[in-house]
Amino acid sequence: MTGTKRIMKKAVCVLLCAGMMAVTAGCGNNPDGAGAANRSAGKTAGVEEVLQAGIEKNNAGGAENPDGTEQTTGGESASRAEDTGKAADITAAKMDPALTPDVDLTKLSSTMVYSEVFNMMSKPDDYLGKTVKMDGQYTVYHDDITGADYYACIIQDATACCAQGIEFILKEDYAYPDDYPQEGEEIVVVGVYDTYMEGEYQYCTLRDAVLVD
Amino acid sequence: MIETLMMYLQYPFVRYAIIVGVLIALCSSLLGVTLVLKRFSFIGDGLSHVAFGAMAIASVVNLTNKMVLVLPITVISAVLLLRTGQNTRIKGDAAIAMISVGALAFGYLIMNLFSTSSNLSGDVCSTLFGSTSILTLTSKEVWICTVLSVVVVIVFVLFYHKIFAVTFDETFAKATGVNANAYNLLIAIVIAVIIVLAMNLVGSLLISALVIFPALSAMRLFKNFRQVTVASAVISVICALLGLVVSIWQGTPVGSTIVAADVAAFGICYLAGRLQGR
Repeated sequence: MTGTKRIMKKAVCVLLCAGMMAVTAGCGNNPDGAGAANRSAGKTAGVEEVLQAGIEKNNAGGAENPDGTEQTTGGESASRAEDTGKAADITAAKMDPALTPDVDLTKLSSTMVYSEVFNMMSKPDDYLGKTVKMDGQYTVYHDDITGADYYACIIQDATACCAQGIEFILKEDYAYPDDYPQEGEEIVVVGVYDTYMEGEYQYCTLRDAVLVD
Repeated sequence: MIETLMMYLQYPFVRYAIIVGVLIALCSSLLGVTLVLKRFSFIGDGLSHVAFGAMAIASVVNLTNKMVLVLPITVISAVLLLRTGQNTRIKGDAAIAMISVGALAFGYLIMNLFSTSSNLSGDVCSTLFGSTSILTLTSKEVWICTVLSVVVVIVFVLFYHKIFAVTFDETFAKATGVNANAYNLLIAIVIAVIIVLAMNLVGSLLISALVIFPALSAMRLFKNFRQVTVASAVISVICALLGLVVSIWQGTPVGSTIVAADVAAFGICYLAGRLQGR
């Protein structure tokens, strides 16, 4: 009886260990702990990747893209606003900062904001056409090759080592640079969430954005 | 406050984080008691650094599923480390320290030399400190963690008496016919899996806290192995839950907030133990 019990236990042990190894080895696409920065560099690229790539490119003399990815193929930022935006049609009717935004990141804690922005980057389809309000640091990335400017609102996670951000395209009645904030300034921006393609990468942006106090 | 927390709970990723956080805390605390009693408190730290090194290699060679490399390397290291101490030239603590710092340095070095990531410092930081990894889990990862946690608990319950025997007196257990080597191997595999999973919760630098603090806190209050194990699990789950909630609510780093809760719990248990005259 004891022998049978022992064999049963051994069998269960072996099965559980095998199952555990198999299940763990099958962990999703990115089950490491490498964090959101690693994950967001998937199919949908956040503005942080654009900015980081730009910095690296500048450091490397701007000769070539360090990631081997094509960062810019479009023209000016104004022309990017006319790209194949899926939410463009509903923008005019919906865009009003006085309205309650669908996604209000200003009401969330920094941990929550970072996670929610990560979700916006990894599952953009869930947020298409939604009005997003966010606050963070204003940043500009200028692409020397195409001459395009990218404006973004950057937020940092609680450990301050990772940054997530969303690019925005202000409404046409904003004149550059007079109506634009100073780089590094804290801003609150409201815009309609949309995506666009540049090269093989999909980017997220807030279209027809406005700056609010 | 309640209103804010209820609002946050409506987010799926918050619910996922709480489920996975509690499960990982439960599993790590169960094995934590064994590790502390076997004088292997620091093995979690060593293994997590090994996992970090393995992850760096997996990143450099662009593995889609890094777990394929990370898990076997961590398991092998766990087996080797737990087998040290007897008839080895390098004793247990020295072996752990050596592998720990070696893997950490090697991992960071190759990530710097060969990384293709656009945000190297972010990747390293989030791997070491967890960042918000626990809040960016997919439903698939949640299911995997759930299954693994259930498996760990089943293994622990099923082999409770043998683990108890191997933990307290391995030589005596061997003398009574217990296959101590096999159970040590089982413990090593389970620990390695927990460590790899727990990297999502608190990052590789803070994993030891999940293993050590609940067990030590419980030992301040109880002296019986079963009571210590149960109390350790309860303390660990409560601290993980508390840390997660505070972190989400106040915007503090998840991993360090959970560890801070564990430290506070240890302080409370220590005082309570002193009051009990232990």
